[in-house]
Order: sequence, then C-alpha cells, then structure tokens
Amino acid sequence: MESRIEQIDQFTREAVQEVFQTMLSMEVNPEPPCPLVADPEGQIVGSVGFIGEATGFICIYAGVRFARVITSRLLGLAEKEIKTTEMVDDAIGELSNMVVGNVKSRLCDNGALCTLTIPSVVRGQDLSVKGAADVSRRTIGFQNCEYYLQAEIFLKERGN
Amino acid sequence: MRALVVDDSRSIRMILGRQLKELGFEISEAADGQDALARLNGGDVVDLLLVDWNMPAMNGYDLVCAVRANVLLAGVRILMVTTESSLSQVEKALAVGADEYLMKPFTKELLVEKLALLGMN
Repeated sequence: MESRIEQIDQFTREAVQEVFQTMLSMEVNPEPPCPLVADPEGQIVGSVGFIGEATGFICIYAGVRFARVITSRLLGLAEKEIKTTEMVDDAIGELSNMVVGNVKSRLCDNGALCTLTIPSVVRGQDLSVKGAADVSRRTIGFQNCEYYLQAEIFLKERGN
Repeated sequence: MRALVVDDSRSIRMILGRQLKELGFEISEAADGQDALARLNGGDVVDLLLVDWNMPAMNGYDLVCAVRANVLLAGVRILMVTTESSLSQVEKALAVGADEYLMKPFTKELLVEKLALLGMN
C-alpha cells in the first residue's frame, strides 16, 4: 500500500506539471533532484502548508531569473514589463498556491481532509528549509531547458 | 457586462481581468471578500462575481453567503475561481449559492465554457 508521503510525492509531480502546462504553456519534466544552480540574482521560495488529517507544507524553489520568466508567462507580459519584485513574489506565491491547492484537493478526495494555509514567499541566497525530527521529506526536481525548479515536501509523521 | 474579480492575488486579478476584457467585460477588482462586499453594498453594480475561496478579511465562502442573503444582489451570477477543488468544497459552495465553479489552474477556454453555462457568452 502506498504511504502518505509517496502519495503526496506523486500528487506534487502531477500538480507541478499540470499548473505549468495550463497556466504557462510550459513543459517541466520531473527528474532526480540536484543542487540548485547558483543564480547571481538569488533564489525565491514559495511555500504553502496543509493542516488536518495530513499536515505539512510544500516549498517551490526557483532562481530569480526563472521566477521572472514564470511571472512573464503567467501574466502574459514581456519580461521588461515585470518591473517590481512584488509582481514576481505574488506570481510565485500564486503558483505555489495552485500546486499545493491541487495536492490538497486530491488528498481530500482520498479521505485525508485538510485545509490550506496562505502562501508565503522568501527571497535570498542558498536558501534551505530544515524540518523537525518527526517530519518526512521528499525532494523532486523539474527541468525546462536551461531552467531548473525544485519542489520539497515536508510531511508531519502521524502520531507525533 | 460588468464583472468584479475578487482575489487576494494580484496575479490572478490581472489574468482574469485581461481575459474578461478580451471577452468584452468591464472589470473592477477587490482583494478580499470584505472589500468586495463594501463595493457591492456601496452601489457598485455588477453582473458577475468571480470569487476566490481563501482570502484574508472575508473568505469567498462567506462572501457568497453574504451576497445571497441580500435580495438586492439576487441577479448577480457567482463563479468561484479557486484551488479549493475537492468535491466536498465544490458542493459546499454550490449549496450556498455559487452558480458555477472554475478550478485553478484554468485556461481562457475553460473560463469561456463556464461563462457559457452562466449564459454570459
């Protein structure tokens, strides 16, 4: 029987591909995770949690350069029209919200009722998230030509 | 026709606003349910509300309940546009008076399909 973390891993792979295809007309293919290539402009991380019969959160990591491409495609604007960091932050927050919302809905339809938290977005260099000891963790890489994206799943172990 | 897009994400307001303008709608925006309700109670006349579920101040579910409790707004059609796409959430929204449900992620074609179901194409 598939464990909860395996189930969320599969839902996340499908959700990222569906959101990128539908909202950005962009193919991203899952692949084994690799270290994020250093982007001189830094990294951006969108994070949304789910709380209930399954509790955890999912982080979506991208380089700032790729995040600007994502924002441009999402909003239907030229990259030069993306003038503020707030536009990129909002786009990455909403993209993360759609991915995790999709995962959360599939969890609910599979009997694990939970609610979403609001999205949060963090910028910086060499960002990483540490989970507590009772957290299962999975990392999935996604590739689109020269761009790389990473999804990281943190799931609280049941009974803790 | 006039549409009010209610979503705390500026990106979604921009996307829906652009798509609806291309379809001939006049657009106004609100960042949460409270803002939307203030506009409607303040006299803004709209034919269509597009409502996200998870928002600060007042969420989309509470906004739908408030709009449906006001007889003066009885003619407003409500389209939920949200990531909350589990069957139980859809049923809950429709039960309190949402007319249709569009799940994020969405395409313009899906939006047009939903508008057609509302008789707004």
